[in-house]
Amino acid sequence: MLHRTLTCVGLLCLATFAFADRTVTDSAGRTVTIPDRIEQVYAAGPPASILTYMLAPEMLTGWPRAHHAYERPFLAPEYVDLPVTGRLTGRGSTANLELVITLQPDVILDFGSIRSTYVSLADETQAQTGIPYLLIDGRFNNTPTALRLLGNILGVPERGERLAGYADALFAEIDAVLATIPEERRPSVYLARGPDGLETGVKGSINTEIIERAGGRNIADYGEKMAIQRNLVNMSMEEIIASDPDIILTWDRQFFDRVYQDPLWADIRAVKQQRVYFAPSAPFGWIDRPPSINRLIGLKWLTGLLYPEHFQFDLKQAVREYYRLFYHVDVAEADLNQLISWSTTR
Amino acid sequence: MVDNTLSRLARWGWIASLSLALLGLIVVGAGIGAYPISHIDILSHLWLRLLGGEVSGQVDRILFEIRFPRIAASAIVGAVLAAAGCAYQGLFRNPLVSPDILGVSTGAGLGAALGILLSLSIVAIQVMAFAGGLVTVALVYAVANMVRHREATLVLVLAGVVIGSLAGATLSLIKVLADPYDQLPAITFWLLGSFASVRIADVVAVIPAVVISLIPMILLRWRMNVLSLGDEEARALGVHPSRLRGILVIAATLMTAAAVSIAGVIGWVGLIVPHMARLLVGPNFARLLPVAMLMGACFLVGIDTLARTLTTTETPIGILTAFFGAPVFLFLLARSRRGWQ
Amino acid sequence: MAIGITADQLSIGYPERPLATNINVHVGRGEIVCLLGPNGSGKTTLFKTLLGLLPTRAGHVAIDGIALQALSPQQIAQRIAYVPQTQGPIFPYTVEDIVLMGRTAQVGLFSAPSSMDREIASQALDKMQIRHLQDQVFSTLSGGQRQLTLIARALAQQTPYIVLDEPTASLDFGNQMKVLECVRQLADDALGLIISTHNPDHAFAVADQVILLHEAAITAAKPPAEQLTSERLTALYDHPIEVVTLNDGRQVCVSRSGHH
Repeated sequence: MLHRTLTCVGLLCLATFAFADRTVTDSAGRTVTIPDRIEQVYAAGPPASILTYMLAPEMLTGWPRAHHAYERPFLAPEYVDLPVTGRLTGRGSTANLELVITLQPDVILDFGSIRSTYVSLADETQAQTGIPYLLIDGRFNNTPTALRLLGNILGVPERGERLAGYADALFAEIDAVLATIPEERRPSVYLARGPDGLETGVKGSINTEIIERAGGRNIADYGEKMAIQRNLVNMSMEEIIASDPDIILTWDRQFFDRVYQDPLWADIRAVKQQRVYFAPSAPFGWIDRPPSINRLIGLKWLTGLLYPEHFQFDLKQAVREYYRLFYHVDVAEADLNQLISWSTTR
Repeated sequence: MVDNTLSRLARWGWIASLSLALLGLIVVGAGIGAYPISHIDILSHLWLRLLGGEVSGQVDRILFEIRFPRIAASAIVGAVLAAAGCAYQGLFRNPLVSPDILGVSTGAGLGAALGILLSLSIVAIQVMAFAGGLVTVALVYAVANMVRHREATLVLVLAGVVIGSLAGATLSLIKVLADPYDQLPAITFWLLGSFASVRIADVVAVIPAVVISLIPMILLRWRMNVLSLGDEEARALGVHPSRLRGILVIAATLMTAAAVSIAGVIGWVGLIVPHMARLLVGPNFARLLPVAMLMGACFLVGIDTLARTLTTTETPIGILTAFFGAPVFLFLLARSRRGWQ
Repeated sequence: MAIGITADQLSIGYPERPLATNINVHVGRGEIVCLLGPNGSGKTTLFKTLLGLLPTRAGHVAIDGIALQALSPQQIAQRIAYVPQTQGPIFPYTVEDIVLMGRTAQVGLFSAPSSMDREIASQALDKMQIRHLQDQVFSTLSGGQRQLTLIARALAQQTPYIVLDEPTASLDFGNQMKVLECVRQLADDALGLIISTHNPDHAFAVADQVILLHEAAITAAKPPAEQLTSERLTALYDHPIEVVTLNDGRQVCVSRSGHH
């Protein structure tokens, strides 16, 4: 009798062990209890969905929004049609908490700001839904760390290490190049947003940090003059002409198609030297949209644009490799050409 | 008789001094900008241009394609919003009325937001803004006409409130649907109003609408006064209230829609300036209209000069007109406790 | 062709609410017709219908033989002037502005009043002895002064007929008498006037014909002596009223003394 009871107790203990939870610490220092094995991840916003897709696409419960037609060729076919599940954080929350619960994810993942507002949102949502909520620091320089951290959490550490290694290598390469180039010889860059090209990101903003990371000098530089750090501003044509940027970047089709014929822009150095480039946006933006880990390829591209002599590589090849490694897709030749058209020359 | 001459002198005095003020503001504004150009340079370039020279070189381009069009636009839009405000306040017999009472600005904003959402070209966005303003007011009129009521103006205002808030709700919907990284900031900036992207073509496009709208206002200036007595009294004095009101609403809406389509939504000018002009020269529309238009032009030229110089980046002009307009309005309110007299 | 304002089998009122039927009224040139009736009986509604401001429910109105429906607002305004009970404009128009607005029907569609129009307005101000008020803002005037201004405006309109809605309502006794005298003078100048009043004494004083509007019906027009009997007035105002004849033959009304 005793023998059998002991065996039962022993088996019970073993069973509990198998379904044991573990605790992890996220980027905000929160200790979160998560299941030992994670199978489903609810991404709280576009950056989180991209991060999850990169590391473990099979765990993604869905995308925050449906993909546009032009984005579809650049996502793996098995995952491009995952359901639309809305977004929990960031500008405009569209997710229904009940929907999130019915999806039965093992964790909710948020990748972005770890400021106190988002920490409290994380705690609240976790309490409301009973689903563990992980907050990972989305700052661009934190990319390798984020990849490793989440790779471990999701149970794909080798994958995390591989992707982090790519990022580390890229950063190191760029830093090496930039170390040899003093501030004055760095090209000035203007990011033209909107159909009239007058909206831009301020230096230091999340919207243009890739440009600065690649060693470009953002002409929208107001330094200490800005009492409150703003991200997006409207510039006047005069200011742009007065700053005379070497390079202009845009992803607005209307602006790009017009800029070389527009008399107002004609005297600007970037236009005169035909250095206006169209940034690709599929499946995610290369410079922004969203301002997250998807910008890695953009960083590589930009550095090559800004410092062609020092930083040389075959763009098409690099894009193919990156998309295969990070986005699990082999880009067709035609799609690839379409993607990077106007990103190197007019 | 003597008093008449005095009042006429007073009126022309105001017109003369306001015109001078406007000229002064234009001159000052022309010399201010992110690209430094000295006044002497401006004069010499102007002179050469007047002599029939070509636009060449960066200074010329900045002056004639950026700065002057911008100043012209702010003057025109200021004058237009003030005129529309005078007309609307008279038509609705209420000095608290702004040109947006029938929803033209909200409708224009909706049109523009839709254009931005659909990633249309700038010109298309402007056209949509213009159309949006007109369609909204047309809808308001259609709805008001379905309701038979003795108080025609009251019905119009109520219809304006309803349709206006409907347009506002649709605008909010568009904001939700818009790409938050891209289109939403563009929509927000557009709605705050700005002269930063005005070009000659915009100014030229707006002028016909403004002229066409001004003509009935000028021709019907006397009947405008009579209309402000109330529909019944006006009719007894020999005017056709609903017909007059229809023509004047069309005129005021047309000019406002044109203004909003190139500059975005700029508030407070149409509310405050007619008031202040009325304080100076009285309510007679024939006197009020030119004075209000000049004041509106001065106001907006001045404010736009501030908008591009106040901070290192462009301040959306709608914010500035609110910051200036609201205190002025409160001051007027407090001052005229005897009730708008 | 009958000269004058003629109402024939007229029914007045609002779509939801009929007020009176079978109204027959005639106001000739040089004639003063007084309309008496208790509050809410429809005096103002009748006037508005005569002026074409309200549609008729039945019957016809004609001015100098021309049907009212055939006339535009401007044409009506060239024939009848209206002195309403009004608050006045919300904007600070001066007395001069207001009186000048009476010239609107004579001023071209796209014009403003000419110096001749101003002259006529000036004369109207003089006639009502309010020249000294010409630059004052209308809303700062007393009730009586406003009334005089509105009458001046009607005068400036230079029409053969004037409709006055309780013109003595807010006037002091002296001014009431002045207005009544003015009305009499206008009739002497061959204008046709129709006045509503609360005071039967006024009817006695100036009216050529009196009509009573009472309980949705209007009496035939009769001279005051015939129309305004003690019985009729008592019925009209629902209060014991006695008509008294003075030594010189003029009649006045008083409340019947004593208890019933």
